[in-house]
Amino acid sequence: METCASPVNGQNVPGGSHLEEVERDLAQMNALLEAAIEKLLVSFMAIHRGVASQEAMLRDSAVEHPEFSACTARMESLRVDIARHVSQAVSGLQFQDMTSQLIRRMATHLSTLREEIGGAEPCKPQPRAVSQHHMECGDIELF
Amino acid sequence: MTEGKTILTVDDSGSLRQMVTFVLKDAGYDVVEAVDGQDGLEKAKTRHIDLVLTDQNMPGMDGLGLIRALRTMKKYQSVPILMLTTETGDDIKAQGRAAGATGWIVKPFDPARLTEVVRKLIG
Repeated sequence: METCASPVNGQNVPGGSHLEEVERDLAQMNALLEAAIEKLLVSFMAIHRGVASQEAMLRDSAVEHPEFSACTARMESLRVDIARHVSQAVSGLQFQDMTSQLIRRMATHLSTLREEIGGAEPCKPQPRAVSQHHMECGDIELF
Repeated sequence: MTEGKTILTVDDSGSLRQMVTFVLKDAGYDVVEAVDGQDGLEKAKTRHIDLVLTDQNMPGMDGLGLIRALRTMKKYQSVPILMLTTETGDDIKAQGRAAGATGWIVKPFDPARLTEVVRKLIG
């Protein structure tokens, strides 16, 4: 996470060392969150590939062996369920992007606060806020 | 229908890029990834791109900057460009529209609806 280069040292500002600790913790939290989601994504995609291969094999078997046709409806129902869960997982995994933006914004505010307490001029533009308060999918608008 | 169609996805978040790529490849599209507006612009210059999907808030060149730069290039004057962003304000949407965005998608995106809107635009 970027931090503003500042002449203000944590030791010289009242509470500055605490602010520096919070900034470091936020940076670590952001890195851990990113690493965790990266691992989840890799596993999720591997599972999806495996399930897709299984589906394809079962479809081929049903074509070659008509006696399996009774299973076709059940397979289709399972396919729909899996697609719904995949969709929900894709939506849910996007939370890391939004929380990272919020963490960066908090870190920038802390950095600015430390500079202002120390009498320095803030040197970094504030990132824009994230307005989402829940994980429901957003709107799509075509102009 | 989707065969040979290439989509450029531009986002500084690696996880978001992977999610978009996963969804669009699953729908049959080729996907090129870029980490910010400048990277997106460079990749757009050297490849044939059928649709661009870009974040707004990125270090360096942001989404609006990328759209403005692409719209000055003859080959991108009519290519659909969708914003995929956490931004929901009317003011920024109006800026996007003025810059030449084709549409606005608010994160988190729904995979089925994203695919549906991409199909509607490029088949």
